[in-house]
Amino acid sequence: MQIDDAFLDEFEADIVRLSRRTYAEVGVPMYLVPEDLTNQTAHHQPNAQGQTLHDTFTAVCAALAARNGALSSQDIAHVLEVLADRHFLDQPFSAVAR
Amino acid sequence: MNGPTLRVVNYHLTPTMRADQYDREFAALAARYAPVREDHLQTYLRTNRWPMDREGVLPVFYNGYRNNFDVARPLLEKHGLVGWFMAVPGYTDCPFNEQSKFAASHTIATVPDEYSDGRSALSWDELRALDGPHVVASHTRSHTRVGLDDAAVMHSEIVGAQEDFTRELGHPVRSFAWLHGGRYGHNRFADAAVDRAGYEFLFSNFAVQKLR
Repeated sequence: MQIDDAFLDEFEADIVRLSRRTYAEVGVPMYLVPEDLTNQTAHHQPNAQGQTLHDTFTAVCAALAARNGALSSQDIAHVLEVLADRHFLDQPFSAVAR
Repeated sequence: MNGPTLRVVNYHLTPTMRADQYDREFAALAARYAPVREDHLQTYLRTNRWPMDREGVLPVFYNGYRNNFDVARPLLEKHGLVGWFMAVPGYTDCPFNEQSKFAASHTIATVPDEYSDGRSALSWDELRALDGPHVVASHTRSHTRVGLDDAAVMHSEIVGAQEDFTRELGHPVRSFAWLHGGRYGHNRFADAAVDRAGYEFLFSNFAVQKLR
């Protein structure tokens, strides 16, 4: 996935906007990776939706790291928050809240 | 991340003044996703597929707030969603007139003067009422940041919390959310305590792990 400057600018603006939420009182959508440590699960098969999310996440992280330096776990959480806000619903989740 | 991903919406306080907002959010989530119980999660983690006709979503409520019961619960039920209530037994056990002080000293935000009796935490009666229609889970015993080399405190926060739930609910809870999101597999002392407590699912910042 190609990330241009305009996309990254908008993504960083979303990070700033969402970071200003009152976290203690609002719903924050988030993606979690499911892991079965009991080894009962067959190998995870990539699916189209997961692959798109993975490609976007990877590309955005790489582009942000190139622009701002290495990402912290907090930075990664912010990337996931923006992706979740944009993709959980047909409209941004944060728009439903407003 | 190119395999399945789990969708959660993390909440903490749910004050009355934001009830309309939660109503809209739960309506939007329920229109697209199915409610999730622990047996559903178990199946999903084992098979990568939801046993429902739609993908699932978990509205997760951290810290065990009274306004989760009063404000969020009826709205969840209005829209047919299952809430996951990550409670803190030490907060619940705290006398009403000391809960504000307890919260302030355990990184638990509260709404000032929200309730005239001073109780801001879920009561055990409320947790028993949530247990079944919704999911009650453990978010440590006192919401205390624990040094990963302090085995005694770690035991209290992880195993002690489970003992509290077992005593009050009549059964152990299946899910645990470690304060600040630690994963299973990063610290052997924490892992051992989680094993002793018998938790089945561990929620961390970026993952949900099936442990047994």
